[in-house]
Amino acid sequence: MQRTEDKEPIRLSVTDWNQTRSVDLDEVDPRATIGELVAEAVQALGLPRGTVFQALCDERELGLAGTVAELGLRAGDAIRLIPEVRAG
Amino acid sequence: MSAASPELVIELRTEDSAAVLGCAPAVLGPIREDAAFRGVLAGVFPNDGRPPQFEIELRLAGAARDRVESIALRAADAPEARYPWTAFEEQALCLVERLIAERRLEPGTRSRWHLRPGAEAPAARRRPRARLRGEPYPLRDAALAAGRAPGAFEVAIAEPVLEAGRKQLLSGGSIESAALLLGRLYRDPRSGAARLVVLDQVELAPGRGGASLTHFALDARSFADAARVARARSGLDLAGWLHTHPACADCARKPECARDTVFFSTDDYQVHASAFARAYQVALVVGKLGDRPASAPGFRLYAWDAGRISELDFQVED
Repeated sequence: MQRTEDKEPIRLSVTDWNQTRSVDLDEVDPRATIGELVAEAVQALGLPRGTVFQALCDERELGLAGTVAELGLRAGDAIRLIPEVRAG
Repeated sequence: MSAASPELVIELRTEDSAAVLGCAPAVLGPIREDAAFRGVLAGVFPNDGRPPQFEIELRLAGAARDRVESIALRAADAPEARYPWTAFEEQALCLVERLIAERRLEPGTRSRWHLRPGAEAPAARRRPRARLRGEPYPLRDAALAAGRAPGAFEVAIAEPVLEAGRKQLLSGGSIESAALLLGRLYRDPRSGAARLVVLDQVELAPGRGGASLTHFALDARSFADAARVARARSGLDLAGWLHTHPACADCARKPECARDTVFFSTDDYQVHASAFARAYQVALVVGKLGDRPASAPGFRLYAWDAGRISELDFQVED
């Protein structure tokens, strides 16, 4: 059974890899996937949309298909975006 | 006029414009960052990390008014910053590369691109409200040499950093390598000119995708390990990155070989735009210059320039 609090929107922040810029996401639906939040943050931070980003909370990698509720994220958690890129 | 980022689309067409070959959303981050940094250097915006609230106006062209000719960014009490559509050229080249990689475009196909307004796709669920914040630019006040134009940006690199880059290239053989660049950013309050001095480097480990003659993969482990080392070197800020472009086997055998491996590829652009997006962060490429033997590597420096990437001369500091 889904817990009541899992339905309440929460506030999360997403930072770039070097933690110099961040975006606060208010009223995040706990059913939102990490992939959706990453896309939102990438757009807000003005980062390339063609880049794949890994999402880390503390040192834990968050699967992009998982939802905020499934992954147990709590209000105030910070997600760090790390680009997965290849120099040519 | 809009305070939000309008949806803009890079559209690639056949040379006669008859057919659309592919599209990609245009990212306004680099021009927003350029306007913010220039505004801070000029003293128009406070250096408090809060992104300026720009109003965006598109100048449209074409019979159907469906092509963006230029984009103006305006903020209260600040001069207008205007960017031509060509500010998105690197992004268009990335689209071409992606289409080629996906076998949707034959290499060598003659094509042209333009920028057009796009329609925002409806969200599956209510989107969260996004509020941007950041660290102030790590500017230190300093009296720079006279004659600098307002907003001018120059770079100096310490010789030990260049020597480390040469060694990294030569010891790596035919495998690319990379490093974070650390340094200090100065601003002359009188002229608003800025100077980045690169003083140190921290080698990056290849990520899960490994490294080869033609690529170097970066991921969470690469960035986290290097950032940990960089943080220990107090007083220095992230200035950009360095990577090597090794010479080919022929170059090593033939000193007269005129091949030049020092360039900035679309993959390099993707790395820079994704991880080194602040307007003062630079990319240094070390490799074989066309007029030198492979045993005497050379450098080219690439820097943000009005939302694009341009080659920039640099000074060498002892």
